[in-house]
Amino acid sequence: MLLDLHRLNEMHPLLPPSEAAGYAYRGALALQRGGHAPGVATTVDDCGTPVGTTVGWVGVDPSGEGQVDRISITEDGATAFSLAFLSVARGWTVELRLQRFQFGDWLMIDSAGDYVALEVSGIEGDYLPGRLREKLDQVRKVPFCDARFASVVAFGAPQAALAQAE
Amino acid sequence: MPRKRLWPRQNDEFVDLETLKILTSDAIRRAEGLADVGSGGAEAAYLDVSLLEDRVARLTSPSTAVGALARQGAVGSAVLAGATERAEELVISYSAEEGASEELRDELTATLTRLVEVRRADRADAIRERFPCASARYGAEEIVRLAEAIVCQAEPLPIG
Repeated sequence: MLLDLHRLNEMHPLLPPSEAAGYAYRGALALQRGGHAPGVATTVDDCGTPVGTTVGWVGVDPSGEGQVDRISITEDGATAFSLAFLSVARGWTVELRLQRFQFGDWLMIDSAGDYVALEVSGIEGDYLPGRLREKLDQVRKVPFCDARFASVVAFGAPQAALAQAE
Repeated sequence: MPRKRLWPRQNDEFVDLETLKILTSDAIRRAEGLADVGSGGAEAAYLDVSLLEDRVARLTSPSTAVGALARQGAVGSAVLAGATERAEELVISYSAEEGASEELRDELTATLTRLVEVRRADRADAIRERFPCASARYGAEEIVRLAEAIVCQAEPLPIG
């Protein structure tokens, strides 16, 4: 399964184009900072099922890293990866950005037309299982949705996990 | 020849729902970014968010996830814009809508209350940091209450 970060805007037409490009850029920086090159193989734990993926991106000049803060690179990189995976693997699309006080990052629509809240988190180094639990506790508070999910992406391996809040 | 208005003052058909969702996402990112760097423009940016979320709300049913979350977003961002009165008016207006569920009404009220408290606590923290002596003497929360009362009555004196 190929996750092409530079096709985010095609995958999610309601994502502002400049934002999609920004996510893809910072995703590329996050992956390169982790020592990875385009075409790196990853495994995503999709609610307990391991899914093999290959991540594609257009290589970026690493000197650009100094102009973006580390947290933005990690968080936005995780957003790029998660949104690409959810589009390719599950056919979900972005519907609306949520605000911080709404306890989630995105309202998405799944392939059945149900509304799903998504919270994304990034880790610069190795995967931390505790982070996924924290994010599930947070996204559980998003009201009005049919389902709530959290996605955590670690750029050390790289490795990612997606889980549904009960 | 009558002059053409470049920006219609009120025209819900001017921007479609899909475009509004894109504009809203963009505005949220901008407002949160400005707030993160402590910019004085953050409040104005949050007011933009509230206006856009309200436009989305007007084009969607309160019984849908998009409609309900847009209404919550419009209320919350109005508080973050410092426009508490607008936030209160939106809660009243959305709660009176046909199709507004009990859950939506409760959530709107809870969002308003929670964010007003958060904003008040943030202001008290800022006053403690900037005016430590006055805060120690009068209490930062009391200074915030006094400031809100002055703004509310729109006159310097007397204070209730």
